[in-house]
Amino acid sequence: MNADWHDNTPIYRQLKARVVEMMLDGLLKPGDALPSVRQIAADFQLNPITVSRAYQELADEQLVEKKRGLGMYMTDGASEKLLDSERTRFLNEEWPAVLERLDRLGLNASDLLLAAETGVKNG
Amino acid sequence: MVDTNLTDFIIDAKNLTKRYGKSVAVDNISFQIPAGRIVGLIGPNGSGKTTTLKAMLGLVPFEGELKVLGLDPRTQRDELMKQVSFIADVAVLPRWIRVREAIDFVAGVHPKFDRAKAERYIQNTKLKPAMKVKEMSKGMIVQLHLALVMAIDAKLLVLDEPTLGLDILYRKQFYQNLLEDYFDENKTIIVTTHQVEEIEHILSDLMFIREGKITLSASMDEIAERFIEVMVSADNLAAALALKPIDERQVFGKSVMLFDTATSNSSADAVKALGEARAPGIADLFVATMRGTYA
Amino acid sequence: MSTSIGTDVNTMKWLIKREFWEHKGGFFWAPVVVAIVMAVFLAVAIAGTAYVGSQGVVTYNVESIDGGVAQPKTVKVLTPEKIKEVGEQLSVQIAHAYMGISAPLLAVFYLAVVFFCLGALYDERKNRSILFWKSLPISDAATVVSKVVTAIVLAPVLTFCVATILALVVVVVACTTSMLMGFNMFSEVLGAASFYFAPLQIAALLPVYVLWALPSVGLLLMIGALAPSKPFLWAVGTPLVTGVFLAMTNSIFQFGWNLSWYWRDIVGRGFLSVMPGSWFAMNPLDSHFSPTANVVDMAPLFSQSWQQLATANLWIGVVVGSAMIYAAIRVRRWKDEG
Repeated sequence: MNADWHDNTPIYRQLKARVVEMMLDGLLKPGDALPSVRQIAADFQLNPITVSRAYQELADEQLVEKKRGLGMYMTDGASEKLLDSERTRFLNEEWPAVLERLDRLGLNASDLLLAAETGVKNG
Repeated sequence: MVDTNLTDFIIDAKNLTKRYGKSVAVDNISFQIPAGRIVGLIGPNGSGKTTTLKAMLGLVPFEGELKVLGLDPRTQRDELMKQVSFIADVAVLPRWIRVREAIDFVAGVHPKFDRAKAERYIQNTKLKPAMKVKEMSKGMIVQLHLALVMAIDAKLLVLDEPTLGLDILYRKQFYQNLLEDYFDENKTIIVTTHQVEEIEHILSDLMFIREGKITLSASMDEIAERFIEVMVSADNLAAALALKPIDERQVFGKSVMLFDTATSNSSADAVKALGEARAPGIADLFVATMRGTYA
Repeated sequence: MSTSIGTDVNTMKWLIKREFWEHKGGFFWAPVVVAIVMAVFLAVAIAGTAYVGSQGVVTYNVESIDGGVAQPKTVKVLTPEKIKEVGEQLSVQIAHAYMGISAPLLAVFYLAVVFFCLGALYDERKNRSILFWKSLPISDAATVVSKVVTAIVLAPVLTFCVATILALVVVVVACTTSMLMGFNMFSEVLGAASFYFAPLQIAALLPVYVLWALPSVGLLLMIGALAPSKPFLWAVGTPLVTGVFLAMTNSIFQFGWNLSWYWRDIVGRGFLSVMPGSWFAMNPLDSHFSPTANVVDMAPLFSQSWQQLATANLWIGVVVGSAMIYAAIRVRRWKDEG
């Protein structure tokens, strides 16, 4: 397996982002085991320390937990947490930008609902 | 799990020097390598990197102080070799030896050889017990050598251009196997290679060597913080040059500059303000610091 | 610097095994093949000679002239009495000296040992496999000693076994042939005590051989350890060039040196000592004794050999040889390869 690592973010952060993506997409479910540090390091040709750091930060954010002798597992509360943080991010960053745009374009709530209905019929 | 009787550093060099007649191959270098690291020793041909490795392995005499696993490679080599393993080159296995003879021999003479591990590894290859090395392709010879090396529980593994001349499949497998089945926090690996990109993310530490001197010795974390590569927008060119980049190149008509926040009179923030910033690849860093050697 | 041979017996066993794996051709197949060829050749020769002899010789009987032409008459040369006489003589000789049949194997052995010693510390440098051996916890001392042991203990023992088997095979062929001709050599041969002692006496020469051969082994190993290339040329060239230089200096400056000591004690001892029995030629103790003449009795061979241990020549050789082996160990330890 090979991966493209971007140079503008530290690798461990990119790795974290990938794991989060997998959780959000449902590829990782609560209670699922993450591949071992060794396996990820070997498959992606990374230093195990880098992988450990990513896992550690995920554990600090309580998205994964370490089970003694077994490895890292996705926590039950992880999906909740992720959904929460995604929601917060949307409401605090993306939504205000959308509002600004709506304002500029002169669209209001009923325009939006109409567009949504048409979209549902056509889409 | 860590042996607290050892000195802190796996390798501790002070004023290490090696002369060949009048020329100096290794010029008064000092460095320390702690356990659990994967260190890349990068340098052009003739830079002294192979000589440094040879000194560590007790293959050549030297001046200065060098302790490997707390032992002096000059006087305690036999003891040292029980805990150090190395692959000096791709093709040093004796051509007459058969796979089973090689395994039998190492099993017989090495106290830390795990025969079952070597055989497990070989089962996943096309190697057969009766095969002679002279019948094997380069890639297969490396597989055999790696099988032997990985089955030895050594505290230090030195790899000198281990994948030189191999095709990409064998090269990828080489590092994959090392990471999957061999490396752990009690082991240290030193690797030299020309294929810098291939081990870029495997390394934890980096040492650049040039004309017998160490020009850079830092962990990958430190390097990520210290070196910044910026795609400088045209209006910032003058300001950028004032911050004294260590290298500049043109990419698609734009200026890409490399800054060393430790040596130039700039801060990371000032540099990042110049344009799109990112961490440089080791290859670019290497070329930037080596300019002048190839000129 | 640690030169302790202290790596254990186990490591030495594996090192010697490794030498055997690598040099099976010279130390095993060469003597075996030569022995087989010799056995076949000798068997055919013996049987053939016996057959031809038993057919009788055609002579012309001048006593029976028939019409002016002498009549041919076949005279049996090998009469039963003659056979018995020859048989008894042969039995004694065979019982004492049958091992001598295998003498040609010594030539094979000599070549194998010389080329082995020259290559022992050279080949691994040339093909860089030394970097593999040096990555293992085996001391240079153990490595070099294992090569010495292989050269002057393992190799001669192997050749000795092949030689003994060959000699026995030929004896069986000879005795069987004579039995078919009417004389039972088996009982004569098997009844002689010397038949059983002969191989034991030769085997018991091994310690003498080891001590005598040391300077040669040491010299050849050293040449292999130091030669930048083509060790054989260095081995042949150096003594020749030195000898010529000495002879020229001698004649130009009229020093009046006697250079035979150089050729015998330096060159000869240096390059021929690995030939078993060379001590008879190079360090003769009893002018009346010659090993090839006195094949009837092995006992002098045995005692003359062990008496070498009382000579200075042997022990000087041991000291010089040991010093060169030690030097070879040091060279292997520190020579900088690629």
